Amino acid sequence: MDCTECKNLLSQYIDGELSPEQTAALEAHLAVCPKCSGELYEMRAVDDVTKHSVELQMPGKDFAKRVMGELPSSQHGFRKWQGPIAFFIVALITAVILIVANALNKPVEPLQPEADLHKDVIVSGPEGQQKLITPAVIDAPFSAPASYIVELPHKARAILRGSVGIGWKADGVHLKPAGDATLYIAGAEPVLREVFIDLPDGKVAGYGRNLLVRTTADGWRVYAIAGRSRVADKDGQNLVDILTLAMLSNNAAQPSIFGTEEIVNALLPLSDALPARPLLPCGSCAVGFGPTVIPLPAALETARGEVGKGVGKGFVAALSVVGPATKSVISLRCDEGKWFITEAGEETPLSLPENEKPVALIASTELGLMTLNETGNLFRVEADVTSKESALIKTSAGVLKQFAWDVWGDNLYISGSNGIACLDISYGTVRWFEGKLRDVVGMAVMVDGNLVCAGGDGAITVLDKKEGKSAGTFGPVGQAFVLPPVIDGGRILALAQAGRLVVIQGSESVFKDIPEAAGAESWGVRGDYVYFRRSGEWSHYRLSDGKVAPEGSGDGWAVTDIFGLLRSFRGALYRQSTRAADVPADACPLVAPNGLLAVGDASSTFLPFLKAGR
Amino acid sequence: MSDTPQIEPSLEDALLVRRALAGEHDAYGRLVDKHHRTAIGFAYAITGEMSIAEDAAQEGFIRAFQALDKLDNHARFLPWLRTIIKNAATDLLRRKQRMVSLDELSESGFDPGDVTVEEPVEELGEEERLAAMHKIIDGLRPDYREIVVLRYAQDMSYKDIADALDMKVSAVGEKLSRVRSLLREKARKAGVLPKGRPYDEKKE
Repeated sequence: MDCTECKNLLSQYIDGELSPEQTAALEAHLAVCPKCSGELYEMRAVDDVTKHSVELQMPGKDFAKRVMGELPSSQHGFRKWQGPIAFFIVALITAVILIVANALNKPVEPLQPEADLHKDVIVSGPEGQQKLITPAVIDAPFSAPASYIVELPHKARAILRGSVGIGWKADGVHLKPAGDATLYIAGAEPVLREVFIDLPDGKVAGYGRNLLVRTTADGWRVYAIAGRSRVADKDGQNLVDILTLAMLSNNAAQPSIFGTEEIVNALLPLSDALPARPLLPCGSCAVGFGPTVIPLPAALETARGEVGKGVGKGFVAALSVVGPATKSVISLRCDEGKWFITEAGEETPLSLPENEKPVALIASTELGLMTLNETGNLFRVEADVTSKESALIKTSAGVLKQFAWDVWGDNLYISGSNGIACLDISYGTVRWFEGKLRDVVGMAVMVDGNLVCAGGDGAITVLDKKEGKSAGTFGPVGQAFVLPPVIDGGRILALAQAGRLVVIQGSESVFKDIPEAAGAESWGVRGDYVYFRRSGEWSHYRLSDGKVAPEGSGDGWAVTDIFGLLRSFRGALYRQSTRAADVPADACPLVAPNGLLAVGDASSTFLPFLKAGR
Repeated sequence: MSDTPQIEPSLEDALLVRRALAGEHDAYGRLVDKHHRTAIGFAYAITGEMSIAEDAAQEGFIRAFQALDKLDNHARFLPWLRTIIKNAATDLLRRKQRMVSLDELSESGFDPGDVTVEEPVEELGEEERLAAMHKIIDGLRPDYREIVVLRYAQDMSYKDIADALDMKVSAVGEKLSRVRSLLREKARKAGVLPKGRPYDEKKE
């Protein structure tokens, strides 16, 4: 490279817009040419002062606030939010109930569009606070997480949206419908929330997203429209998981799946009238409503177990919408690292770089599909359904290698060999990054707003989930951790490689050595029992008397963790594992109230696996 | 692999527009927050004065909100906003009776008469340097002022600048290179650059 060439490229070099080859050639020249490097120095000096000068004149952060304060209450000629949502919900309820009634061949009276949407709903919050909400769109009535009770009067129809606490029966919303009442829990966020509905026969509906609950004099029905939900007895026994687009009633032992095609057909005529709504991600699929967004055929495939084939090589993911012009369902899918848009059964390959092969679907967000690729980069795949143009947007790089991840709220946490990071789930941008924790085992677990990480160095570090700052360290305990820690009953427990168990409660920590648990492949804790698996065989250790006893092999059932069940997108992948041997070594099982939880084969629901040491 | 993850800007405008149309006020707030510097850059091209540009950007965002349902291609929010903001800026200037005829601005662009920075006797202090630079930028021709804000205040990539301004990516690179040369020349004359450069090039 000569000086003229170099000078022509300096501006682009400063802006980081040169190719790696150009950069290398330019830097080689700069290293030997004082004239050009002097030029670069001066250009940078000009850049600095220009940047500072422009920066000084930019308004403060309140600019957006000022603009928003000046805005009229709605766009010209545009409808307000409340109307369409109310209509949307009534239409949805009607459609779902009609479809289910059809499917079950049982007449169910559809709801009238005018029916009691404005009936008062009482919401009771912590410390006796009460709120009367009219109309009945309940929007995060108290600061979450908190336990509160929603009382639905007879004939009330209510929509619950906004923040809801998470946790098995500890926090959450307790809904008390009286008589004939309908409540729709409208969730658009990427995680499931635990919402408890006290059902008339002493059962509770557990976590769910886009959950429709209808109670009548005869009993109740819970519809899972997107994501999963769960119904259990009050004490958590007899868990039944309802998969996407499934319904469970008080007189059915198993949920029935109602087909997506019917849903699509029923909702298509309504789609013009409905407001555009963000996609509601669920598992490997998404369900949405509105002019541009609609359900997807992959939901049924999920139920049949066709999704999630060949984890690690490729996966089938779908983000489906209804084409604005054609009204047919369009899906975005990935198979063996190649991307396609499928419309009316016809596949068009997308021109996305193949050297960035995705290995896992992290989430389907309203912006696109978030994927992790082989090299540990995080991508968002976006596609324009009209033009079929696509984009692979690298949202963050260098976060992870040998990664594990988890989603809490709208945060995606990734731990990798070079640190632990918190990203915005929709945009994929990094909220914080902690580069000191380099050998966190599996994914950190969340407790009291903190991330608990066990490291290969034998130390347990607690990070503040908001900023990623260290809130404390326990250990090292003298042995490396190879399994992630477990939270149970307010305690943090960690099992080290040679069988050393660490129990941390408050600021106290206790060590116990369990030689039988040395080299455990998987483990979990409930109450007095520490369960661990070695060579495919499960055993338990009793904390109170230190006794170890075998639990059995599980007979071809795979054990996964409750968090695995909660993570719908991972759940879909895990459901492919039908043998204990298929379960990843870092899968941390069971924090279920009745013992271990097991995952059946692709066509089964989740079933209790081992009783809690009884 | 670097220790700190790199972030690339995302192209979420279309979705934010759709959400704003569906009645989500916050979505529009996010658009404003995301693009306000760019918007000020658009207005600054017309006004040549930052304080007026800020008012024009605010006015433009309000007009855009009211007309949002008329935006055909949601992904082209920024170029559309640019037209609206330029109109708002022109109206504002007209109201202020300080209309600048754009025809007068020649291709050679910068008119040295616009900036009256005297030949420096001694090195300027930090504040004076920034003020002098401010004057220099104000005196650039409109499209140069615009690209300076997009690049320096919003830190946009060439591709994003190209999308916003309806230019080719290569043209963005060329223009920024020209702007940099011009800025350097003016900065030297105004004594904005610190003395004692490792290499002092006398002839250009």
